[in-house]
Amino acid sequence: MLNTAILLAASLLGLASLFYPFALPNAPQGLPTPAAHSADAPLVFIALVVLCLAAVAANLASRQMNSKVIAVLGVLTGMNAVLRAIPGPGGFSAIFLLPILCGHAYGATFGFLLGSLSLLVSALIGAGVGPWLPYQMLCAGWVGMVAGWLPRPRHPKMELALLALWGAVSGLAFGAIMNLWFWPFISPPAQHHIYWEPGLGLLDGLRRYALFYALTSLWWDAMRAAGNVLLIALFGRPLLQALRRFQRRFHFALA
Amino acid sequence: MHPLAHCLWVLAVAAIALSTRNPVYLGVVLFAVWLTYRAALKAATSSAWGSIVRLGLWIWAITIPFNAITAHVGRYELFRLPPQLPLVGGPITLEGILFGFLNGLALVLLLAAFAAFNMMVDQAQLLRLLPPAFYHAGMISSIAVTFIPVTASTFAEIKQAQTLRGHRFRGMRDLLPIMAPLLAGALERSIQLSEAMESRGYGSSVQPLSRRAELALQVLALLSLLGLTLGLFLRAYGQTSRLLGQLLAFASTAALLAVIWAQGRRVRRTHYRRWHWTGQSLVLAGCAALSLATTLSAPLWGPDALHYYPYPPGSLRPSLAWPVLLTIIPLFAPAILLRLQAGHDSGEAKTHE
Repeated sequence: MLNTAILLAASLLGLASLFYPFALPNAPQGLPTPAAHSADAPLVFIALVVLCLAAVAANLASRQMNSKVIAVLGVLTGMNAVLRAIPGPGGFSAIFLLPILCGHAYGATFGFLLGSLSLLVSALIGAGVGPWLPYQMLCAGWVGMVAGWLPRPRHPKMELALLALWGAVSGLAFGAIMNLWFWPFISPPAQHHIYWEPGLGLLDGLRRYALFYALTSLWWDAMRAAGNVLLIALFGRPLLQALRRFQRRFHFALA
Repeated sequence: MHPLAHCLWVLAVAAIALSTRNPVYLGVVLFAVWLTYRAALKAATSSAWGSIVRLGLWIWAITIPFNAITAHVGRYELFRLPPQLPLVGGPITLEGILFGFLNGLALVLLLAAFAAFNMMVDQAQLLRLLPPAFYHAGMISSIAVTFIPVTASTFAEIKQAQTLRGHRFRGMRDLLPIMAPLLAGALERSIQLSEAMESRGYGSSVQPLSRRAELALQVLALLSLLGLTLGLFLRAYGQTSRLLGQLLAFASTAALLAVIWAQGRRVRRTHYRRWHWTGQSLVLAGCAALSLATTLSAPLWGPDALHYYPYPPGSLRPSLAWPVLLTIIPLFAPAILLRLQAGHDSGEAKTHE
């Protein structure tokens, strides 16, 4: 219960720090020299995202993280990292299939950990460590977490449709949020007061971001969303059955 | 060399890339990163610098037009887009294009710095840098890293077996006969793993905590997360409570770090192999720390030291401040150290012959 609350609060803080660059132009600035203190803002908000992940990771209660949960999470994380390394069409990789299915079958916390840790692991083995990694971990964690919150309809086809829908939505949203890590480079704080108008800070920033997103990243994200839907439609049913059968046999739970 | 020294170095480069758009500084630091990358390149691994350059061209293909069509300020007007177009209409200026290029340059610098970092540091060893508070997460990650080769070879085996049985792989749909056994095998393996962990006394390295103490830690973590969020909101949007927000954010961060520290204190870890702070690591760490400290304290020693602003009333010509040398020159340290080491090693090899 308390663990879920911590996960939620960390997600809230994560969301707030992701939107932090849009809040910046709202700060009072002595025109025409742009505020010097805003220069280190990107560093601050990467640090905040890291802090969110740290808060979740440090508060995993020992009583829940028994050897069963650790073993299942570890092995599935490894499998997910392998799935990510298999190239698909258009830069698509099957990284979200397992977090969505496992999050739905085993719960939100399990999904969060599987999503975020498999990105950490695949970055470690693939030399992909960089400032984008905390964002990737947080966003992939959310993909698995929300899959755990989705309702569980009786009819299996309904359930599969729901998961496929979430696969499509999360494929698009993942791209939109991931682009935020380099947004301070595309639209640096030093330049903000050019378009700055009183009261327009957040909205204007979001509008400019929407334009940027539509111009550059929408196409790739649409590919990813379509890939997620396809994978869940093709493999969702048998894999979900296998996961549930395994849980009944092995008796483990992560609240 | 100690991986923490490399971490400090890449942090120092990232701080420069994030805090200045001065073309001279960015260019010189990029040169330092390139030298480091060249020096760290081992004989076996092929250079990926070409792919960084290609990625850089992509980045510029995005940042330059985007900045040009959204920033319509400047003295040197090249041409005009019809003003009826929402957001993008208006004059296209030389300054806008230049600033777009510099935005891309900073991003390229960041990517190149992390490429050099990944080249210098053994990736799996980075897991050992994880603080003890993240015991469980670290455990899961090390299991995953260990199981990746097994899973990859199982993937190949299953594929071979299915091909022998007459299965043909043409499209995505045909992957199910691989996916299902792969997942089943992984779950099967986790049962064995958990039994092995139990039999070796897993979990005994974490000191048990009373229910009340655990509850207190979790409640404190929850409150500080909420406090930090609230503090950020007050700082960004509050008109009069900006200072209060800042204080709240700082206090909450301190509380959160204390929780993480307290959780980490419960974990006992043994180290068979330790990294040593050798002389070279200390030199590298010192240089990186000097650079980082100078960058972060830049506003103190002159408001415009790192600042570059081509739009009016600024000037296209970048200004140069001497204290910036303190941030840039130390960043050449890993390139020089690696060269020295390589020269030393080859000299040694020759004497052995």
